[in-house]
Amino acid sequence: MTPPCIIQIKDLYFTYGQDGASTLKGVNLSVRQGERVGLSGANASGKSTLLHVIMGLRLPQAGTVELYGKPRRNEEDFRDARMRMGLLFQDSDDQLFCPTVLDDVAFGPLHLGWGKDAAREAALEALAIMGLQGYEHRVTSRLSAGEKKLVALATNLAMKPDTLLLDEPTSFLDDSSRERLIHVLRDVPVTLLIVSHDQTFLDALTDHRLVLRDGRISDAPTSPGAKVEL
Amino acid sequence: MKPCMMTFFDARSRMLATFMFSGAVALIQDVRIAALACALPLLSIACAPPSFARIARPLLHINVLFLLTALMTIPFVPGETLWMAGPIPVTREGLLFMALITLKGNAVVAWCVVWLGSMEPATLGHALSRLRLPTPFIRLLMSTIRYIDVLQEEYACMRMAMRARGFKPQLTRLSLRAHGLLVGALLLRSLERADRVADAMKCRGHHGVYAATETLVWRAADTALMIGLGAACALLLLGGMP
Repeated sequence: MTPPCIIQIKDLYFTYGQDGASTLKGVNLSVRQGERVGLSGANASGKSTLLHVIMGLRLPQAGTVELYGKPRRNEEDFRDARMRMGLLFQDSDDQLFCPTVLDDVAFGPLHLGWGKDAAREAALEALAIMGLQGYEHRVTSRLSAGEKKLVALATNLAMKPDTLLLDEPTSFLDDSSRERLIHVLRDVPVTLLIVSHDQTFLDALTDHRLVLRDGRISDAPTSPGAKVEL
Repeated sequence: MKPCMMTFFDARSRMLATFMFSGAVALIQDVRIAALACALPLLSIACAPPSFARIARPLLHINVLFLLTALMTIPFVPGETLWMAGPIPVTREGLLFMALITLKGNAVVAWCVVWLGSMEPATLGHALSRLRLPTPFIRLLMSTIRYIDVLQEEYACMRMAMRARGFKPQLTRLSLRAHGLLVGALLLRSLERADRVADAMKCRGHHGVYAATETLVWRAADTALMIGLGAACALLLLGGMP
């Protein structure tokens, strides 16, 4: 049986500002449950915008966004979907807005109404998955860029999402952190949509590759070194 | 953070005690009572001495500010002239006025350092939230704590980029314009970042209510602190109000 569609986008148009330059011009995309999709494309091709549209942070000018089989049109519709989906932002300073690591990682669970103890437990568990034990009371602004990236992913994992959208997850990571990230993402049972320029990272984690060019999505040409084992 | 006696009290009672003490001290008009009010933070310091740097730095900052204020205030307070500093008269009333605000300022800052200095920012936000302060105010405070470093880094980064392109701070029109652009860019970036942070908060289920992992427990000691400090503040006000 074919797994159900988690993300289904049809004829999506999105334009920034008044200058009329269209970022997304008729995007069609479908991601099924359990699929691991890599999305690449040139700078300013609209990859991050697409992720923001999927999360309902930007509303498209035309086209439809269906998540978990339901059409999503307004903030109310997307709010329900965001409880099951995580987005890793490109700049971790945007994502980590609490003074300490524990508060940041527990923020999502607390706002999902899990209760203090459950939220704390989920936060500690997510930090442990990312190999960040002992970071609970660290001051977020004093972490390195790589540490911030790992904590930002922990904030998503703490909410136990079934879908993860990752925007340039390997930027600022050193080799060992990058490897840890690959192992963590391989093990978590989630549907993945990864936006990245890092071809070997995409090779290691995704089974389907797409490219966003001229505002539209198409299948990426097959890379010769696909599926690098680590 | 090193545990101290103050951490024994609930964060809310520490906040309320600070509001109460600051409010009472602000209303004192008698310099002798203001000096007496300094005894309360001094007593707190004696019970739970903070590190020298923690107490000395803010007190140094505030006293430099008071010194500058004194230079601009004393000559303009009319009263009995004690001596002439060149053409400027130093009046008894001016000196008493400066002594009053210096003592009051030091008392409040010392109290804040001892009673709130050891509090984690998250606990502070949580306590304010439980004291039912408006959420926008709390969010503003928490965001300031979190993003002040980021702003500083962005400022330093942009300054470096300017220097790398031959910028030298001077009192010229070109240099002032460059500074204006720098501040403008910083404000614009902050505004854009604020939008992105709001998006990140939405992604994690935030709809306007501030929650925290810590549980606050109000004990008998907190009630005792409120009653004791309330009585002390009432006595200070009885003696210190005109």
